[in-house]
Amino acid sequence: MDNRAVSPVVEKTLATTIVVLYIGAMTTLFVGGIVPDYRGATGQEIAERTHATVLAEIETTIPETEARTTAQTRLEVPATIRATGYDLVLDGGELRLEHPADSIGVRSRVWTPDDVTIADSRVDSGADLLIVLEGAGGDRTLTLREVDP
Amino acid sequence: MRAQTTLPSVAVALVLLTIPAVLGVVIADGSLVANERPAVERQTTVAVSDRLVSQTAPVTHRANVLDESKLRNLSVDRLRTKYGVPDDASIAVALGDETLVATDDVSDWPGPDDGSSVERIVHVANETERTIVPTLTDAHAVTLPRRTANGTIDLSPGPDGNVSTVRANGRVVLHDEDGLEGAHDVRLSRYETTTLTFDVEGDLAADPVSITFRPLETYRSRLVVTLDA
Repeated sequence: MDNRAVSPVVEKTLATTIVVLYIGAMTTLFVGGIVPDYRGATGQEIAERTHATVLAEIETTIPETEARTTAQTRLEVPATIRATGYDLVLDGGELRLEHPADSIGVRSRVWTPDDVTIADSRVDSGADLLIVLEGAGGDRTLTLREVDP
Repeated sequence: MRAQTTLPSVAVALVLLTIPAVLGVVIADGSLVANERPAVERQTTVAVSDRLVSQTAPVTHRANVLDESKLRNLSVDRLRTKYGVPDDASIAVALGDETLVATDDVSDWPGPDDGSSVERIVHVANETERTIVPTLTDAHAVTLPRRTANGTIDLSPGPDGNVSTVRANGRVVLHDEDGLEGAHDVRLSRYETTTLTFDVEGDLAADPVSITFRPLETYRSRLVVTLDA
């Protein structure tokens, strides 16, 4: 073998291999670790703000009097968080935002005046949601419903 | 060194590639941290503050007018049951710079990063009692200096005189054909200044009437609600 002619080949091969390995390592680092973390953090932030908006609208829907009431608020929520739909659930006096990803989820208690009961309900994020308060004075119910398209 | 002249340039190129990648991640991280907001905690604080000043709240006389004695008697338990403070949150309610009620772990907060804080300007009302003793010599009428929702009129007209009717702004509040005597509670209007007129026969004794009324004295202050979930 003529060693003098082989060494440029070896050198270029070495350089190519180093660059390919570098690209592979950086891609794995980003796609495997850094990017999903940031997507999760932004997703959680959006989920918290959506949850807070729904809580605020529930407060607005309940009027200050205790008489017979029929009140309804229509609210637009983001259709997806992190490209997946989610559910808003009223359950046992709690409002929960349930998302398929483990890192995204919000829950908090909903406080209502003594005469309002919170009906268990579940709403999909795809359509606008309705917050409905209805019932006779002293026995009113709060529900979440979807708007029929 | 004969066949390795491109390797240093490869190394330099890779270093130059890494620098913007790291910079990009640092900027993205900084931007995310700067825009983080404790949305649910903030909403809960606003909601508690709204409930404390609403017209149906036990501590208020009417919307944004708080009763001072009831405000000072607020306890953390009452805040949790009647005003919707979550069980696991720390809460502090202050009037101006004076803390009225707080959970135990608030010795040195609220700092700027601890919890969410909502301030609003409110009126704080005290019920006070004032008594005036008009002489009723000329006009048989007296105007109360402060508006009030109710009052007590104590009549002692003496043996020669007789007060048969008392009117508040033209509306009859007390009437007795045989003459009024003693203390009577009357309802007045809080929305207009009250002038009491008396229908008098004969000569009244000195100090025939004493009127006790309980106006609300109000002053403005800031109500600060701080909550840390």
